[in-house]
Amino acid sequence: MTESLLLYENQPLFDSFDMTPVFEDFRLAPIIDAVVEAGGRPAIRGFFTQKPKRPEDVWLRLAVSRDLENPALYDGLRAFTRLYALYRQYETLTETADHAEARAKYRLDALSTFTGALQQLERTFSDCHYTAPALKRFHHRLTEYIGSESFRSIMHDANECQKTLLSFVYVLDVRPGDPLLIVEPDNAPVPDDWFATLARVFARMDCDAFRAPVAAFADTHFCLLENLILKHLQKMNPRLFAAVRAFDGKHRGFTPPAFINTFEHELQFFLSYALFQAEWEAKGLYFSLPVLQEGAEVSLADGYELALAINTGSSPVPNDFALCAGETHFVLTGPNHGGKTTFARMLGQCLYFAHIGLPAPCASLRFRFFNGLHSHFVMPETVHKGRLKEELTRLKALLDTEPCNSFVVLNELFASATTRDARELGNLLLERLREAGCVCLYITHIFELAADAPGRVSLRAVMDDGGRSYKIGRLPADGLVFVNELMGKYHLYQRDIEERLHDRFPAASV
Amino acid sequence: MIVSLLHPYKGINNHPVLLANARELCTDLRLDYLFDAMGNGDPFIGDAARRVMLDADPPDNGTLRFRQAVLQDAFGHAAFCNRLYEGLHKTIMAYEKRLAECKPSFARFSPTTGRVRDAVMLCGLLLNGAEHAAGQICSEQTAFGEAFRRFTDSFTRFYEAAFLQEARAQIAALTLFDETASARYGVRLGPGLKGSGYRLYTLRTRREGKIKARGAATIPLDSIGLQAQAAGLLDAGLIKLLRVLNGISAKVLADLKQARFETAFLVGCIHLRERFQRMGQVTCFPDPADGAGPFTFEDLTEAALAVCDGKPPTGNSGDFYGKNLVLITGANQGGKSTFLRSVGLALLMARCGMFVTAARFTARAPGRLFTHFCRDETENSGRLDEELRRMSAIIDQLEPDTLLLMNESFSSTSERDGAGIAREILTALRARGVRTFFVTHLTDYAADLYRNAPEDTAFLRADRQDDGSRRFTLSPGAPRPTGFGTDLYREMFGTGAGAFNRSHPI
Repeated sequence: MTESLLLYENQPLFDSFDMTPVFEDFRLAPIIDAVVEAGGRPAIRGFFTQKPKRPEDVWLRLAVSRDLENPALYDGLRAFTRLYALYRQYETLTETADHAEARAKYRLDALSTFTGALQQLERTFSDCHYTAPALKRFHHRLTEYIGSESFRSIMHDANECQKTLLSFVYVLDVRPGDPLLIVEPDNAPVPDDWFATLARVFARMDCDAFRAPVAAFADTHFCLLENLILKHLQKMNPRLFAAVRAFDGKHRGFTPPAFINTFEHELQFFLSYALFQAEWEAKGLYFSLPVLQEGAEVSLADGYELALAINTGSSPVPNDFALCAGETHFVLTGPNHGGKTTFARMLGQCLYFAHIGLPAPCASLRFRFFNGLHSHFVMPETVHKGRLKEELTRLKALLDTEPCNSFVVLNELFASATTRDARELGNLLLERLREAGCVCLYITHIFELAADAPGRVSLRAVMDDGGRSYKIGRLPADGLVFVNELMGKYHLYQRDIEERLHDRFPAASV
Repeated sequence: MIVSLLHPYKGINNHPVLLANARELCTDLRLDYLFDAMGNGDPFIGDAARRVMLDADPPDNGTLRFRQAVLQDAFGHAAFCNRLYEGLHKTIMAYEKRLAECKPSFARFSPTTGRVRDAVMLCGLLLNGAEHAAGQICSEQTAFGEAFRRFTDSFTRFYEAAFLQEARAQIAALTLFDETASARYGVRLGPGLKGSGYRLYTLRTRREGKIKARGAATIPLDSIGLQAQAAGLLDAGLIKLLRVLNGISAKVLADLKQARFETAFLVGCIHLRERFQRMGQVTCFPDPADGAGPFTFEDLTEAALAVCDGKPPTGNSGDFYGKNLVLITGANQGGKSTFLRSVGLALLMARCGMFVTAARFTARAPGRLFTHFCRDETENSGRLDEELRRMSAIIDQLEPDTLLLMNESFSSTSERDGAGIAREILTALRARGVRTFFVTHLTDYAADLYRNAPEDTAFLRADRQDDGSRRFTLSPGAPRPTGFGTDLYREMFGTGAGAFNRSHPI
């Protein structure tokens, strides 16, 4: 594919940043697997591992994503991709079907489906409101193509030929125990469906089965009996089959223009995600289309860890995040299992989806463009004797990529070093990243780091009455150890209960 | 066809989601005694009663009044209701038995004509059942009331004689199918020249003469493969017929099952009422008050206890208009728990449109009802933890129209701690207006509260006579610092009780 229509602005050069290294840390792999599975097109997986290097490309994608929020446009595009898939299926059968007559007919079916799909697509664009420049450009090219002589000639021939074929009805009379199956052309007026009487008598039962078609010979291959029937039909009506052959001969060399294929392929990137999104929205999750803005700020409301949500089937505790001008580093401390790593993943996922131009798992997100997303999480399985060295090696590799203006998440680094060393190493590393213009989320148990330099913000896992809330807030780091009182644990103090009941008992008061 | 015996416009879900705490309610309020009495030996009726009474989605007041009208009518047609239920039950049981016989595990490989014959037989059986029920309705002499008539009219209109006659004729024709059945299809050329849009012109039940048009060709079926493919072609039409028959059967079966479910509930209520009548227990239909405020009753007894003992228990009266908390203290074995259960049972019964065991009962039935009863089964070490966890889980589910029944809650810790916990929790619940009945021995807490005399709290006390005997009735009154447990001690161990100081809390 030499050009991109929906994913990259700069033609023909499109530039991207490989996101595979953060997939594991941010638990993106299971999410992307689910997205690709929802769309049923494994070939598009590659789109999800590449983050555009230029903000223009993110604008381009976000505009498309925004337009897809229009249900009419979305449904129209989905209908188009379904027809296009059918076209592809017929196209394949023009090569693989059992015999020449069938292959010729599949050519006709393929091209009438293709022309139908494109007309349907054009109608969708004409009827729906949309603003994305990428879609506008495509619509323009599509209109031009549909108006071209070659397209019109194919459409005309295909329609004529199909019309003739559909007017031909034949009769099959099958009697078990009888050595013969009768094939005859049906010249008499079409009789009533045999089920009509039953359907009338039992109309009050409103039985779906009456409307279902009779499914005979459902396989795409021809069985022996079908072959014999076909042979008789050819003898009965040779002109009909000649017309099909003529159509095939005339249009055999047809291939769709490359821009249609590219459009359809890249559209799957958005549609697969939309399907995935709809599936989980129906189960109570929520997504929001991020807004890319100039400047240094980031503000995220009610973001949640999507992989965890998919795994447990419910929305985990949501969290907010804000990056204000002048802030560079976020030092996150708090007790174990207080939601620190989940917070880091949530933030990573939201920024990732924002940067590839798709709705993020949050209530709202305004973000600035980062060149790269980097992460370093401790994986239990990598823990071995030379852990500090291994960590430093990986960090060196990260720093060697010269991550200017990147977002970096570092999770529990230097856990094997002494506290004093870890603090010093941490300060060195953070300073280095600050110089490179990076924003960093640094998860650590060394809470002193939060106050060691200007531009650092302290985040802490919030405890309430001795329980974990899984909320992360801008709080001073203090090594608070929580008390595990039962009343606190079950939130049964008077004010807790009143608060818990507040939404359900709004009018009540003491 | 709409079976509308328990709802004015629709059939209610006969497999409803039950209240999340259905199991606790059954244990704490001893509901199983009630269900057994309603079933009167028929487990299906008991189960139907359980599903209606513990439905998580309670009917509104309009529906409750409708149900009460239907029940009132059912009491006047008790024999008819029984007969109708029996007939429906018999048809469905016969259907299920025949279905099991027709469904050997290798059904997929049995000839389609055979399966069509089975489906025809089952469909006929169900239609006969519907006809029988319609006949029973038509031959009932006494007129039905308006509410009941919605169902009977709808049923007899749907399964009317003209339809059933025509249906039977169609079904009878289909019983003639044998292995020589044959078919004639009209076909068009579809994608890839495969046949498509198969339309069944004729389905002959048995061998008939050939009609062959001019220009027809014949294909000799001279190999096993060709014969099998031709049989597959014939089957395609038969399979559609099979699906049609199964679809019709499913619809009739659903109607009959719905009618059986709803009549089962009525029959259950008839059984229970007859039982109460025999023992002289008064019953009345509650007035489902529209506002949340009214809550009064006269001579309310505990229904499950009545069923158990076979005689009417001692009743209580009360008026708790506008009270959020009813605090019940007093003598051990004084009828506190029984009173709590009588309130819970009556509200559950009122909630599903049933009568209650009282002379008069006015209350808005709660959407949900929670019990927080002291449990003995858990280990002592974690009991408070378990109690508080249950309490917290209940609080998560409270809604404005819920009722909470607490029985000896927080007694698994010292009285001081228990009182502290009760104070925190109940103050909050009162502030939010959660209607709560609390049986407690936390006398210091109760006495404290009484001193403050809050408007929204009623105080009931289980008293003992001066001779130590119990009347099992509660009366309004200040909490006393003893549960008279010593009386019980004396009752069981004779003398020596004088050693206990009565004013000392137990």
